[in-house]
Amino acid sequence: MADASERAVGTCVQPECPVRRGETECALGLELIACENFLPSPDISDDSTTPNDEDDASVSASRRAPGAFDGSAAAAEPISAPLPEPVVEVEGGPALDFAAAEPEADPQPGFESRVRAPEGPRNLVEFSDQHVPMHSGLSLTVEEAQQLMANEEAVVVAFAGPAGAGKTTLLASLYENLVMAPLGNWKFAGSMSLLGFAMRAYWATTASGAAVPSTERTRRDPTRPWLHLRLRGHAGPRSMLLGDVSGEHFLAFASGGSLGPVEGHFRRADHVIHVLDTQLLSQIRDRQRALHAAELLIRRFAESDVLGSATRHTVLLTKVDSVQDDLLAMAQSKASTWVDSYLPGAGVVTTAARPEDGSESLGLIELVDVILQPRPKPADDPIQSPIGATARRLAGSRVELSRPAERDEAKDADA
Amino acid sequence: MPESKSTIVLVGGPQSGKTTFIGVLWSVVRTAAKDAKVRLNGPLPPKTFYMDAAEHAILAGEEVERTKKGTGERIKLDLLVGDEPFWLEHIDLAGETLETALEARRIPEDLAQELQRADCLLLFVHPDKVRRPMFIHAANRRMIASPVLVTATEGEAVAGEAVQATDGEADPVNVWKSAPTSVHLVDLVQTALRDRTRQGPLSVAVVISAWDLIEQLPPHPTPEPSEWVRRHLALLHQFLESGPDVVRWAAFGVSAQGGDYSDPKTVERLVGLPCAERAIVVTESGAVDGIAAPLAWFAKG
Repeated sequence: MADASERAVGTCVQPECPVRRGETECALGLELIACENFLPSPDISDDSTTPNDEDDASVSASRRAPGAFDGSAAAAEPISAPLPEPVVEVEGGPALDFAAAEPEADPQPGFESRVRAPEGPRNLVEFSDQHVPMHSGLSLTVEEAQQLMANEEAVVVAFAGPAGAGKTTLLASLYENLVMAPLGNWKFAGSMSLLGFAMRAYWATTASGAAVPSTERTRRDPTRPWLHLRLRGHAGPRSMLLGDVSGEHFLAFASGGSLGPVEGHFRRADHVIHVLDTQLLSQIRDRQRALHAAELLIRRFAESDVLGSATRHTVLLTKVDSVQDDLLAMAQSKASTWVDSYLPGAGVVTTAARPEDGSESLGLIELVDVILQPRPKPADDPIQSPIGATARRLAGSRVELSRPAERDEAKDADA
Repeated sequence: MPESKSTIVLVGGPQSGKTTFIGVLWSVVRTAAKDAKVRLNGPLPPKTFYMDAAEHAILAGEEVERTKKGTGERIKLDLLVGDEPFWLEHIDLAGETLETALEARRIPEDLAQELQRADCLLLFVHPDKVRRPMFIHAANRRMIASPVLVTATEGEAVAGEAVQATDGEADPVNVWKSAPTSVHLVDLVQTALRDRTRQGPLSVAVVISAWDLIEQLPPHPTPEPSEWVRRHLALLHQFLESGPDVVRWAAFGVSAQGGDYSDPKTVERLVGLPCAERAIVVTESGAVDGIAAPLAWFAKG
C-alpha cells in the first residue's frame, strides 16, 4: 500500500459515493487522481504549477474565435498584450523595476462599491397552489398500459416463474445497465416507468446503505404490473410492456387452479418468458423439485386456453453464474426438451442479471433481442392475424365468432 | 417578415448556472453593436431588474444571488439572431422548486404551460452536482479490481450495514432523490415532450456549466461536450440520440463567468473585463464561441 503522505489530496465531488469526502484516502483503494469523481486541491506550495495571469489572459484571447456569437463584433478582437512595465532610470545606477518591487496586489476585503446596485420592479411569477399532476413514473396500471398501446405499438411481455426466480431482478438489471450504457445495439429511448424501475433497483444501489445488492420482493398486488421501456435499435424504436407479478400467483395455476387477477396479463401477452432459477439446481434436494415445477408450469400454460396461438415463448434460465457447468448443461437440455414438447419454436436464453462476483450482467442483450425481434405482419401470416383484423375480414361474410367449444357442439349437432 | 414566436425554457437543478447564464447573456445582448450576430430587436424590455442585478453581480466578480424557491422571474427578450427574429421567453425558476415538483410528481401550472409551449430547452447541468449511478455490484467490482488491498472492515464501512429485510417497500420519494441525475433529466425532457403543443422536434441544448472546472480535471485533452454527456449522463445521451424526429440536441460547455469567483486571483483577472469577454462556450466541434451560441444553434435548426 502506498505511503499515505504520497497520496493526492483533494475532495471527492460525488455525493453519497463510497469514496469519502475530504483529505482521506479512497476507501475503495483507488488512486484518487485517476478517479473521475476526484477534484484535486490546488498545489499552493509549487508556484510553477500555477498558471500566471498573463498566460490566462493570452489563453482567454486565443480561444475566442473571430466573429463569435457574443453579441459584439468588438469582442471578437483579442485582448491586447499587457503594457510594458515602467522603467525608471536612477542616476548612477541600473534601472529599477518598481513593478517587481511592489507587493502583489491583495484582494480588497473591505471594498465597498460606489456603484449602486440596480433597483426596480420585479417581474415575478408567484407559483400558486395550482399544480398539474405529472405522470407518476411508477409501473403502469392496466388502464395506463392500454392508453399507451393506443398511441404506440408495444410488445407485451409476461414473466412466469416462482417467487425468487429472478424475474424482478432481471427487470431491475435492464435499468441498471441502461443507466450506465446502451445495451448492445439497443439504446434507451424512453420510459413511462422510470421511477418503477428505480424502485426495483433501489436495493442494489449504494444509496440504500446495503452491502450486498438485493431486490425487493414483489407484492401480490397486481394493480400496477407493467413496466414500460422503449429501446431504439437499428430498425428504429421498439416498446415493451414488461409484466412484473408475484410468483405466488403461479403456484395454484400449476396445479390446475386459476391465475386469478393476473390471468388478464397473460391473455394479452405477446411473449411469455418461462423462468427457471438454475441456482436451485445446486442443491441436490431441490434439483428435481425445481425441474419438475418448471416443467409443470410450462405444460400448464401450453395446454390452457389462457395464451393466444400467436404468443411467442422463451425459456429463461436465470442466475447461471451460480451453477456448475454440468448442471447448467443439464438445465439447458431439459429446457430444450420442454420446448420440443410444449413450446415449438421457442428459444432458450441464459442470464445472470447480477453475477455474484460483481462482473457484468450476462444474457440481457440476447433476451432483449429475442423479445424485440420482428414479428410477421398479419397480412403475411393470416393464420396468426390478430382477432380484430380477422373479425374485420369476416364481418362481411356474416360469420359469427364463437368459442371453440361452441363450434364443436354445432358441428356435432349438424352431424 | 412574419414573426415567429419561439419559446426557450431554461431548466436545471439547483445551482446549475441558469441565473448566471441569464446575467451574462443579458449583458451581451444589451450592449451588442448593431451589426452583432445576436442582439436586442428593438428597445429595452420593461422590468429588467432581475437581469440587471445578475449582471451587476457578475461584473464585480460576485456570485449571483440564487433564485428563491417557489418563485420565478419571467423574462421576455425580443432578439435577433442574424436576421432571424425570435422571442426568448422563459421563467427563471429556482432549481429547488423544480426538484421538489419532480419528487412530488406535481408541477406548478405556470411551469407546465411553459414546458408545453417550449420549442427549445436549455438544460443546465453543473458537473459538481451530477449524481452518477452507484450500484453496489459495480462498486464491489472496482474493489475487486483494485490492486490496493482493502480490508473487509473498510469495505463494509464504505457500503453501509447490510440490510436484512427487503420486504419493506422503498419510499418512492427517497428512491427518486437518490436516482442518478441522468434519470432526473430524462424525466424532465419526457415531461416537456408529453404534453407539448408545438410542432416539430423539441430542441434541447445541454448546457454544461463551469466548463472551466472540467478542463482542470483528467482526462486530457478535455472531451467535447457531447462526449462528456455520453460519459457522465449516459441515460440522457441515449435518450437524446434515440429520436431525431422527436428531439434534436447539442451540448455546450459553458463558463459564463469565465472562472471561479470564489478564487480571488480569478476575480482579479476577470473583473476588468466586460461579460462578453469573460464567457467561454465550447461547442460540439470543440470550437470556442460566445455566450449566445446555444441560441444561435437553436435558431439555425
